Amino acid sequence: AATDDLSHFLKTVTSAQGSFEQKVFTRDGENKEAAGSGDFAFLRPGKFKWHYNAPFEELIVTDGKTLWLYDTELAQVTQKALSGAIPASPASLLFGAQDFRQDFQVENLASDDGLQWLKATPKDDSNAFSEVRIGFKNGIPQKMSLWDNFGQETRLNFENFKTNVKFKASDFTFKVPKGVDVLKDNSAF
Amino acid sequence: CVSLSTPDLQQSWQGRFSISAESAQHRENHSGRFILTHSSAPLTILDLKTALGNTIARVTLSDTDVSLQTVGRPEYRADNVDNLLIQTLGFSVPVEGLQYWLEGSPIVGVSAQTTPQSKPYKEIRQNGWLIRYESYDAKGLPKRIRFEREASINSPALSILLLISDRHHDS
Repeated sequence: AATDDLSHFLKTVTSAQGSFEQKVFTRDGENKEAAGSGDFAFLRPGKFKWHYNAPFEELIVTDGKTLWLYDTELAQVTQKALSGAIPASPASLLFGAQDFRQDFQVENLASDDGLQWLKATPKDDSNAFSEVRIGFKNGIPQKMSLWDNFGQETRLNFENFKTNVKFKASDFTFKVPKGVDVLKDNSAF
Repeated sequence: CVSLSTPDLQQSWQGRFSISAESAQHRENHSGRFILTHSSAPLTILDLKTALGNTIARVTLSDTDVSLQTVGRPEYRADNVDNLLIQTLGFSVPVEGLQYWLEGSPIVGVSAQTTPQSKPYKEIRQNGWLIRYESYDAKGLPKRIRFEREASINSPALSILLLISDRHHDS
């Protein structure tokens, strides 16, 4: 079942890389401008990279201590010290250092379109998401849906998921390019 | 979950923002994405989102009042959006009349100074904000806009950079 796939994934897949496609839906249907795609990588515990190449170039990378967000068009890096919980995001839930089952109640759902699905609901209401669903195939996440508290759903498809890839720690640090200003971000989001 | 039904969408703008709020004590920076929707009701809704797209705060401005919904906290209401935002988020963003500024025009019926005299403007001074149009897109609409406001007794100095990536206007 999906909950077993999840614990297997969190325990045994210590590193991976792949690509993702993202679609965003509100109650009025798809928000086409927010659709995006990109690539990801992670190295447990706590190091991951989430790189959008569409709708615009944006790189999120963390070595587990600091999180950098580089927006090329804004020519700006936002740097955030990771003290305690990092803001919930698809990457932090699946690849983050913390086992997200501490903050979410997880239960199996019926399998659907060839995937084993689970549903996760936050244990308290200060979470960025009101519900998360993950669909597994052969123990690897293939699809993920996240609903925020304003009725918006972010839907992710993961592709060419390669597991247990050899990474160097420096693959998850960020060198600030010349001419780009760095902002220390202490926002809650 | 919030059951606010989205009004008849007349106009909407999407993009990224970064905010620096600087007071004597400290400097705060926030960045993320925004969606502004404005309908003729009049109803203006500003969604502030994380870089990954989930909404963390929604400001709703009607002609009678303004409300702020954030995650995990009760809904706040006030008559003045500025105080509301500063009390809850620690910074304020221009919401009232933002739909004019995002199109490169001063708010109608409010005194303003513009540089130069005619469009496309480089700068608009209005309602205590200095709005600098750093770039325009191929259609002559603003793309990169900086909003600056000096500190006042209950508000930090604010510098906000907006990068508009999409416009949607129901004809």
